[in-house]
Amino acid sequence: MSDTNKKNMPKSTVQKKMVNESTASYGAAATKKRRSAISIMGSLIGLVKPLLHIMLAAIILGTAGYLCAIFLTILAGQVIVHGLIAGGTGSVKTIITVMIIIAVLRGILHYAEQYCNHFIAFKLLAIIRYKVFAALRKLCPAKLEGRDKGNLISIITTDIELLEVFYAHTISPIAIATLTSLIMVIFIGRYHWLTGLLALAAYMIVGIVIPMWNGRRGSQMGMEFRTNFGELNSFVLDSLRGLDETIQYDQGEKRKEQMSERSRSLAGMQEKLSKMEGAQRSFTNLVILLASFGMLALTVWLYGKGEIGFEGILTCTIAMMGSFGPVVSLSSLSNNLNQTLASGERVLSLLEETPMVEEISEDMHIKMTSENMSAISNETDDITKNEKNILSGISAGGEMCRGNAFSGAEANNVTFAYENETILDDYSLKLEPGKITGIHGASGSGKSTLLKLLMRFWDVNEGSVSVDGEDVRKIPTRHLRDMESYVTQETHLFHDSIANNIAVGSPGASREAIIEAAKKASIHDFIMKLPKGYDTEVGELGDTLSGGEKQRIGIARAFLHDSPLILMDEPTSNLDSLNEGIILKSLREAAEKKTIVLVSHRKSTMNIVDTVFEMKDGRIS
Amino acid sequence: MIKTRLVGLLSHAKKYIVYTILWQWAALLSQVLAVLSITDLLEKVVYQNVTTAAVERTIITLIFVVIVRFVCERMGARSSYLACVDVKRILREKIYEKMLKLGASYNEQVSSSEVVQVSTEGVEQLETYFGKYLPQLFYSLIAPVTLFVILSRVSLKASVILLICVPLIPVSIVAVQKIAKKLLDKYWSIYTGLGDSFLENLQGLTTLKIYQADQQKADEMDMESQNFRRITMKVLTMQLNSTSVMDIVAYGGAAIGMAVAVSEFLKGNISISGTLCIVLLASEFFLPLRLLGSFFHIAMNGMAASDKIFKILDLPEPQTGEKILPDGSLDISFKNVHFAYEEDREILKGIDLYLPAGSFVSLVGESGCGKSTIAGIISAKNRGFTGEITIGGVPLSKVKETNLMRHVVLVRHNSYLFKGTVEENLRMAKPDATEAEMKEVLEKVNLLGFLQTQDGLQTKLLEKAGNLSGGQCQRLAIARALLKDSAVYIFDEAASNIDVESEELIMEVIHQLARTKTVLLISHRLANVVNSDQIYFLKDGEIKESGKHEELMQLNGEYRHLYDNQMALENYGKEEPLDV
Repeated sequence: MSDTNKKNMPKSTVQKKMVNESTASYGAAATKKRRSAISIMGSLIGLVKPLLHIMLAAIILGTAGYLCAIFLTILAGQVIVHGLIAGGTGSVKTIITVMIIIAVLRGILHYAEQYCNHFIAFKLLAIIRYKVFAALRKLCPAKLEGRDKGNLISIITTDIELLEVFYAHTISPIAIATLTSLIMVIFIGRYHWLTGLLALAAYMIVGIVIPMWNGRRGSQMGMEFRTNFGELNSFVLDSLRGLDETIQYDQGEKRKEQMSERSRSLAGMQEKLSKMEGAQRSFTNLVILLASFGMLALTVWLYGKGEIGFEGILTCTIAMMGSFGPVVSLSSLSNNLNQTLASGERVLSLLEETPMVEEISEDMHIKMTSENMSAISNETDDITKNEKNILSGISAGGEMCRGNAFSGAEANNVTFAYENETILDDYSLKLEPGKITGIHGASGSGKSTLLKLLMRFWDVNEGSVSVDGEDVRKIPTRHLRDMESYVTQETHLFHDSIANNIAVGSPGASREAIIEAAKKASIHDFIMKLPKGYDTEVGELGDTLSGGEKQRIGIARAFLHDSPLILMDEPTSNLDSLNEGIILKSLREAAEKKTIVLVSHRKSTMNIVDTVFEMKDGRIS
Repeated sequence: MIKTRLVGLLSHAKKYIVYTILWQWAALLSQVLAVLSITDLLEKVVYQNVTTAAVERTIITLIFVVIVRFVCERMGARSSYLACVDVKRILREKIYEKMLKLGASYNEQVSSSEVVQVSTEGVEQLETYFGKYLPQLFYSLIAPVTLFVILSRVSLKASVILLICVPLIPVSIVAVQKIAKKLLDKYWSIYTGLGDSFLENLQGLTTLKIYQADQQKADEMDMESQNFRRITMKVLTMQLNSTSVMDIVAYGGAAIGMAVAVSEFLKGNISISGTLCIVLLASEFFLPLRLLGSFFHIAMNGMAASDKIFKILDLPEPQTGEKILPDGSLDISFKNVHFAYEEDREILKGIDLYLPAGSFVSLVGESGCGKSTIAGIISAKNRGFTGEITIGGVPLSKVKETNLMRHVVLVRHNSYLFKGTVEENLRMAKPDATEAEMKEVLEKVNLLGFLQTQDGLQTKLLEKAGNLSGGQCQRLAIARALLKDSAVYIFDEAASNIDVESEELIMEVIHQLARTKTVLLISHRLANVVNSDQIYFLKDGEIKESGKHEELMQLNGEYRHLYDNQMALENYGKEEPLDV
């Protein structure tokens, strides 16, 4: 439990490790900084605060429910004792009536308790799911490249589902077990302090000692199991995606063998987990039996010494035998708890992971700008044009002013490296406003990286990147995004209609605007040929469309976004020359108003640009 | 309540299910023994005739019981594990086998995300079904009968009442199940839907961020989550209803049984020990069934999953022929071939073409003209064409699929590379390839130098080869194809979307290959097809022009128009000095 502090590494170390970790599988990254069960539980419970009253209700209802079940048998014992002593039937009838009532009550109370618990659990699950996606949004794209996506589905679906166990079947059972056991210890202890003590010891062994012992043995294993489980998910996904190649090269059998092999190794791990579960269950039952028989022996002995009556023997023994329910439910919890905590830990570390670049909100920017302003206001009253623009943009609620005063972008002596691999070395470049700038070079020369720095997916190591006259590290992220469009090598299409896929470029855009953008990207005629036009659904992974068509939809998105700066990373590489020509022509036409950066390895693409920079090994050559 | 088809699929698990039941049963018997000896001792206490011998006998019995129970628990857990351990593996194998049989067209019938979910989560849930639910089902039938046989000698009346109450539990479960099943199916589809949209939003997260559409998607997913929660809550309420009914039946039944026993006792009909026996064992009549009820709902998740699995396993498989292609070079001929993905949208409208053995033939035309469909048909990815296609003289539809795959290799622009090492990916094409052979093909595609700066053949590829550039991926895919050494090669835009160097290199490799093999090249860039023996120009699913490059140029038709256009664009501004 002492390794909680390890995760608070100095920030610089974390920064350096990031690129490395992003390529490692998520599970492995999480294992590195294991935290204690208690700190995980604490963080998870932190989310339950707003629903506290429902949780309290669940605990009270649950305790009452258990007491009903326990006292059913105890009451039957009471009847026998009363029958022996008094022989009367008056109180006996009452007791029997009470028995039937509590039997029914038990069912109702149980229902109410479970409902409360699950209500909390699912309410929170939706919140966590939202938070996980929010966390991924923050980390994207710098930290998500190469990360196993199959593993990530496993996280949000399986791990988060497993957290249900925690909220619905962990927190309140612990409270219920504590409360019920306390009441039972007092009840049994009324007959003799020794019987109370025995009961207390038995509850503690079953409810605390065994689960803790079991938890310690199984926590590492549970974590490993979930990680491997995620890897199997990835493997199956990989196998299914590559089915065409598997069939082509007749490797189906082999692949199946490998899948079985992985399943077997997972099963091996599960065997150990199941052995632990068996051991834990048999020890729990052992303690219960010993405690029940011990209670019988103890009370008989006390009876022999004349310290309690026959009622004491009967009631204490029956009470002991029948009251392990709540603590047993804790005991069997620890098996799942390990996996739950493992899931919880993965989700928590995802939520806590720091992004490569901190986004800048508008408030932060106002503060920064006003500091700047006060610094310069002594010298001159004339606020620079850029700041005026930005400030007016902010006052317009983020609707930044576009186009008219855009002053281009610049890279000044930029040095950037992934890990130890230097991609850009003291690189400078000026993008003139309203012009098309081409960057030409072979793959791996750092062209795309430069665009990513302009987008501020990463921050430079040295030097600076500025857009519209201001360092990107100071521009509010919203404003920066409004100023830039970015067309990547490959366009990702969503399971949605063509219109909505284009509308990604400007959520809520009108159909007219979408069509206009599609026309500019010369995809309109193609869309109109589709059976449902703009409302045609894009098939899974966009396989129904050719690469060229996908790319043109991506370009339509950028046109719809209508930003002054358009960054294009190999936009026409996958288009036939005719389509390329049409797109280059429309880019040329749009360029009268826009600043466009065109990155390509193709000489033909460079023919439409105003200025070309050759790039080789991160330098202008 | 029992899925016979599922059990039949995994018949070897039966043995362990029986063992699990027997261990549970042995544990129950020892429990009864303990209660009998305890109540016997208590009776002796009441009548004040406790002897040392009686106490010793009780202690020995109880120690015996403790040991038996301990062993039973452990062995029970073991056999329960053994009953379900192979379930997952076998079902996964069956699903994957099915996918192999469905082939490349599987995506049209079932979404890959659903297959993934079913073959991991779904299969995982069936574990409960085999390991816990089935043994418990039989045990919960045996336990009340056993108890009845034993306790009927104490009090027939009380035992009969207890036994009568028992069937009320399964009746209530069945009633609830009828309603819950529908809900569960819906729940499952929303569950897989959630995985789907998360995956795709994740894949497109960069795009969403660029255009600040990520908030909107997050909200959409949130709504989906809320919907999921509502449905789950409904299912749960259903489950809770039945749990409550079961609880009321179980505890109510026990209470009535106890009450009958106690009143019999008060009337003097049964002894103290007998009464206590019934009081202490009454709940045992119901506990197994109550436990079954809780497993039942978990098992139902598994059963819903098994329905999905069988739905996949039952998908119709495409028919494949039995003929074997001759060794050596092969020719391919198309006569009046038509093809359509959807009924009202014909892609190929009567194609005639011929690829002589060992020739180099190219297909060109604008995107969407049907080029890739032709490649898909030859490599058996697209089925259901009409017309006549022969390969090496054998009708294509009669050729055994695995044999066709041995002779025809298709390399697409997005050929898949698996997570794993370069060597593993290469060995797919030739499992017994020597290191020298692998290095040779890597050298041919100019990857060897790069890989040697990494870990050589052992260089690890990430998911979707994310750590290689597009050009490198494509060159590796071509190296793999070369290693296969088959008679016919189809390159479907194999040099698209990559750097010029890779493109030129790949074209060189293809030209070289065309000297010895039958090669069909599909390319949008006409400069690449100039040296072909024959060029087919496709437009709107029909062959408009065909011939050698010079012939087509002389024809002065659409081919020439496109060629001139491309050349103009490729050469545009070439004379002007670059403004560096």
